[in-house]
Amino acid sequence: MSDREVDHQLVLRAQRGDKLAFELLVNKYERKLQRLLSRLVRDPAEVEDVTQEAFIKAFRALPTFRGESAFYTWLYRIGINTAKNYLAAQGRKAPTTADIAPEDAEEASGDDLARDTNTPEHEMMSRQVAETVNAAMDALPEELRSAIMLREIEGMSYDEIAAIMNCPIGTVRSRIFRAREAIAEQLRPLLGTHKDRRW
Amino acid sequence: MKDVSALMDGELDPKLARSTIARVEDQDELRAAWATFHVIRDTLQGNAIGPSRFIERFHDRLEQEPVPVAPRWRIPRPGPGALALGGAGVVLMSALIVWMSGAHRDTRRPVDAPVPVPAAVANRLNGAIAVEYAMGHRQLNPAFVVDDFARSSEVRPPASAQEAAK
Repeated sequence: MSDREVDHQLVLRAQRGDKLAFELLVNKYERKLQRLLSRLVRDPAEVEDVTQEAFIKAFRALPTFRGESAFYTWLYRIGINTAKNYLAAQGRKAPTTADIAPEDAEEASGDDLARDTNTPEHEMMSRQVAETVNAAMDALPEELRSAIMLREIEGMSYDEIAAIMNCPIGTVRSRIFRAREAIAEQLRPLLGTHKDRRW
Repeated sequence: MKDVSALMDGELDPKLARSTIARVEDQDELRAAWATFHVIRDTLQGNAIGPSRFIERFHDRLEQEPVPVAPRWRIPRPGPGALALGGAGVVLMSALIVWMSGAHRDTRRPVDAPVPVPAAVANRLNGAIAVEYAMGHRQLNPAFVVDDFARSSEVRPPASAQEAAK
């Protein structure tokens, strides 16, 4: 089941009244949407409020989502409209970058976000997360580090990674999982999450 | 948790993916893994955002939201009761339409009914059948005179044929 199909499954469940399924989608896209909206709404606190509002609007509009486009493309439009309406209500004009396409938004670097949500506290916390992940990556055995980099940074499928690393798909699957687990172990104290807690 | 990792990569077969989604919703540990693995992904892709209470705040807001009414994308299959009701409805509707159109008083011949034969023709046909019957059984009745029997019937060649013979 492809990534898009997983989203569609979660949407179908949410449409049947399963709010937890929608929260999994929020979990998946909250940072991506915040990054996008931070290019329109500069204040970090406002970005978070507008992102929350966009997700609530998306939840209310779920009955109209028919799966003809990817969930994130649909969410993206809702996010842009929510931000524009928010700015208009305050008599502010949205920057022209509001008309960027979803794929353009994907290409914006993390530095853009850091700049756009640039308060000392936010910047410090973001840097801490990034440093923790980087340190955990450096500590990984070579085969785990290569597997997760090919997946997360190069966006390769398990098939492609198996071909490059000359190993079975099951091994790729196992290596990527072990890499994530090792990084998550370092990240949990920072995120305030534990294995046995909700988030 | 290994399945959660493969699920977020879109690398599970559909059946296992659906059951894994259900398990992620049910188990705190798997939900935490889903959330943390996505933080790792976003960070590696350059979208690091410091820890926030975003999801907790959103959870509280979502709790207040009524469940949206989902669309019916597929035509639901009727149960036996619905079929019976539907059938009864069709019969009632048909009866009503027939009654309103006055068809219950209609004396017109149904399409498949036998064509009524005029009396004269019927007599001629009956005569022909009788002649055929008598001819077939004449050996059983030596006194039988075919010509007399034939004359007694109304079987006659058509007028046009008689004129043609002349």
